[in-house]
Amino acid sequence: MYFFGGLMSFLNFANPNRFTRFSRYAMPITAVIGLLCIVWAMYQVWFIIPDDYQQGSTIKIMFIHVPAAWLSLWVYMLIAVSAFGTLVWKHPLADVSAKAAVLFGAAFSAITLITGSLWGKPMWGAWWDWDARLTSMLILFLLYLGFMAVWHAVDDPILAGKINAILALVGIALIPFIILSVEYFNTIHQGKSVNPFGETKLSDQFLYPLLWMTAGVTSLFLSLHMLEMRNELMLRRIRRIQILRTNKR
Amino acid sequence: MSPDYFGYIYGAYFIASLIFCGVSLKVILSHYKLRKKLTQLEYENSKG
Repeated sequence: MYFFGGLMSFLNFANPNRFTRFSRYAMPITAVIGLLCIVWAMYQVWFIIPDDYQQGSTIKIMFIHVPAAWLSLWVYMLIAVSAFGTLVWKHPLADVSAKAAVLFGAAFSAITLITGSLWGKPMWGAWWDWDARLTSMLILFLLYLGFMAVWHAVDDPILAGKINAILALVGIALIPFIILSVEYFNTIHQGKSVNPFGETKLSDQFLYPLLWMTAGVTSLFLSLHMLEMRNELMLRRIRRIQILRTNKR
Repeated sequence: MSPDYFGYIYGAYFIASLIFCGVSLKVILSHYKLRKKLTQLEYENSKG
């Protein structure tokens, strides 16, 4: 009962006009919180934490690689929830949210792949290996590029939104595969170090800066995502005005 | 910090910042561009 009440109030809240009013205040707040968290995390990473006993100073790469990897998965979950909103509730903001998130998902997965490669070379002796974790992450990146290609190739944004929503719901099987790939496959990638439901192998002096960094990047992403959603709403309004003008002539 | 790894660490931070700042800048710049265009179109519309 409470769930459906909450859901309905969420759906009522999230109309384009209310979203624009809400985001005007939420964007600067999340941007400032994000920047402060990142500055605090970077201070700890570069001036406080010691080198790792096994990996030495390359542990510093973890503080950008891991948040980027988590964000690339969370962004996909956001796209999948938006896809559900597009197909089931036909929510006017759902496909706007999905389209706005795609660029960031691609950026985070690209950062994950590149920083992982730069971390892998000194630690594993190889830039790349076609194992389950690395390959599935590459597929996620290609999936993001696929979403972008559909948005650019299809002129009608409603149709493009529906195609991408179906693609996103089909592709969601990749997410648990990426997460579990280090558990069930023989992979070069190390196992899970941070586990919210079990034992965390990372010591507190590495864990807290990592969590600050993740909070900062997430907050900054939320701010930029809202801005990109506003961009998309403006773009659709511009198109509508231009079509009305053409019809008048 | 071991000097052997300087290139890898700074390279990783540089590329990550470049990608993230590039995407952020793209979003911020297109916001101003779109807002300008929308204001202009609405002004022209209001004049008929």
